[in-house]
Amino acid sequence: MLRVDAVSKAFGGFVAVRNVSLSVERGRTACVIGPNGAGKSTLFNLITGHLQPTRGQIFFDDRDITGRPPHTICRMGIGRSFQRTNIFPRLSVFDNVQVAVLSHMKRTLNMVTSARALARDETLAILEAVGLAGEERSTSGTLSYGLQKQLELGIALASEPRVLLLDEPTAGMSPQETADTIALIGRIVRERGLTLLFTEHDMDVVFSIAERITVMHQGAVLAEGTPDEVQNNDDVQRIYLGESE
Amino acid sequence: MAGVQGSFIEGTLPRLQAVKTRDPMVWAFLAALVLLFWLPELVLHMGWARFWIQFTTQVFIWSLFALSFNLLMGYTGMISFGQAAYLGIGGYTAGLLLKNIAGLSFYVGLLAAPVGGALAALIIGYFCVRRTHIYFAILTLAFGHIIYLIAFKWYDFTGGDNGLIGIPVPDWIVEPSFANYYKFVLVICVAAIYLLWRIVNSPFGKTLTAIRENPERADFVGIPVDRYRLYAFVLVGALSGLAGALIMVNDRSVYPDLAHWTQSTQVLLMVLLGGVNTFFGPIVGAFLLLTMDADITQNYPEIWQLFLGGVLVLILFGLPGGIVGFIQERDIGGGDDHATRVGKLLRLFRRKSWIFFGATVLFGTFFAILQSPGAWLFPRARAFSLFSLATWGIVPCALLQLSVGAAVLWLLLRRADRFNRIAGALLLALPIAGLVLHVYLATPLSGLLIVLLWVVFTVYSLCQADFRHAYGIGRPAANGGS
Repeated sequence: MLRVDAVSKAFGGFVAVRNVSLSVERGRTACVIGPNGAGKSTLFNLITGHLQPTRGQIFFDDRDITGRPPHTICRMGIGRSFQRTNIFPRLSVFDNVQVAVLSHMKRTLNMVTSARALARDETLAILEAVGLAGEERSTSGTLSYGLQKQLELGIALASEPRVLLLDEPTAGMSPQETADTIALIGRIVRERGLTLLFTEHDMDVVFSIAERITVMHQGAVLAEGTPDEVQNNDDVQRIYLGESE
Repeated sequence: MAGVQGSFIEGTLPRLQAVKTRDPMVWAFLAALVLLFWLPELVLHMGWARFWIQFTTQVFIWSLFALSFNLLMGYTGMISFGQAAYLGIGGYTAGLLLKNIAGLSFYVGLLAAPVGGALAALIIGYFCVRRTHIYFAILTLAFGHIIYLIAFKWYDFTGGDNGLIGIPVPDWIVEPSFANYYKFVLVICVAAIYLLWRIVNSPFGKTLTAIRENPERADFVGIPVDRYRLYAFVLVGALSGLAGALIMVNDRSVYPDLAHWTQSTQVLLMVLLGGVNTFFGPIVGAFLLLTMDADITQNYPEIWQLFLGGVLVLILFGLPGGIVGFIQERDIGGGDDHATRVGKLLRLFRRKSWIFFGATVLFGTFFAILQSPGAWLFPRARAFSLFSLATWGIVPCALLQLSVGAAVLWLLLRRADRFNRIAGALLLALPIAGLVLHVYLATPLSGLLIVLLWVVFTVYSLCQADFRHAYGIGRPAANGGS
């Protein structure tokens, strides 16, 4: 479904991502872990077109998407959330999702129809799915942090992605919020049959939902495998898991 | 609902559910058109100066220009410092075509103006939209100045600083009373502004606000951001070109000054003054700025720039949302309970009422000083009479307004939460009384406009459902507690 093939990214002399390969099968949940600065977010930005890889190729559905602009990649069926919450802060919750739905339906060039009644049911359905029913009139920037993360997930879902990339979906959340968010993501991924690739700091979260784990360290892949394999990998224990415990 | 969710699970493209709704604003626009249409007859009938017909026409054109500029600035978040270039291009396109092609229909020439504006905006915008914020602003300024210099220096083509004069315009438009010109401009402007209204509320308009709010995210919901910025720029270029052509029609001539960068700052100021994040704000800004310009320049042309600078500082520090933004401003957090919300609403209303009262007295006095300088304690020309306020000096008159007005306002606002329908009427009566007083005192139009804005603010507040509820007027708001 999604295949990253020997991708590197250098910023001047600093190599942020070094020869990383990774693939996610359709309908599977994969996770990228690694200490801060391991290159996880850079890898995501390479996949979604926000950065151009220095070397290597990225395939989605066996199509080469290397170097395509973000809006094209989004339209092909990759949705993502960002590490730092990335919404339209002064728009209402409803408008946040509606814009994404309208964009997905290719209606954004329509200059005469009133947008108010367009895509209403679709937008409300998404808001309900991410647990924001009843908040649609609030200004999104005034929502709590957890709700903003949920909204961001809603924006990502609006373009009906087949692959969802979540960059630290539970960063900065309380244990309760983390549990709720993971339950929400798990439900949505199951219901819609999505392929999920995410990064995460919280090891409990990672080992509870990831089917494949890739461990990155200093820009390179250190280990790859099932949660059990990764947990028992000596390198990983020494360099990564050892640090945090 | 279940069917819609089903479509998402299956991953099919959701059906577009276009609920047919008629836009109620179309009636407001039609009403404005019909009412304003007869203004020249009113002015002529009342024997007022014909200058006002011409002046109002100018306000309409600048309103169109400012509103379209706000599509860039307020809705898309692109601040252009060279927008007057498209005003100039519109004027010159129509002017040159009409002058050089004999027998060309006037309407074809006029229609060429927005096309010319759009073409210029397409070429210039192609380079500008790749940059954002200050770089975009500087680029537009640079291109704008190039356009100005072309108009100013290329004598063979544009007539240089002599301007392009003697453009053929149908006689029926430029008859001496300006009434036909007024109506011609009015119809075009109302139609164009309605078009803008539709655009702002369309999916395209929503997309532009999304780009303003967060271009990165907009890109990753599948919107090609740069291209949409260019679309907005071209659209605004077209409407600015139209405005330029309308200015040309009145003078039957075009001068390079039309494209000068001071015109660009003027439209920027109108939008800031009226309210960046509101649709109709720029109209208020255009009206107010042009009126103040007329009032002040008439007597003291040398202080106009000083006054303008003062107004700009005042807006940027005091009213970052402009006047309309200030009227509409709400301070309601997401998690407030009902009591907190009501409390905030009333506090805000009291504060705004005091500010409007202060502004009324301040500007009323300011224009009184302008009109009859030196008449501090007693008027110079007319004989003083105790019972005729118009014959009082500036200081006693201002003090009287200040003390009586403040006392009444304080009484009205004091027990605000215990009020009823009568209190609401009294609250409205106060600014109306102020308006009548200033009409009686013959305060210049700008002063009257400030008081009028106070009236508008009070009416607007009294019409808000939750405000009426907070005041105990009318029925509670439908979703009051939630």
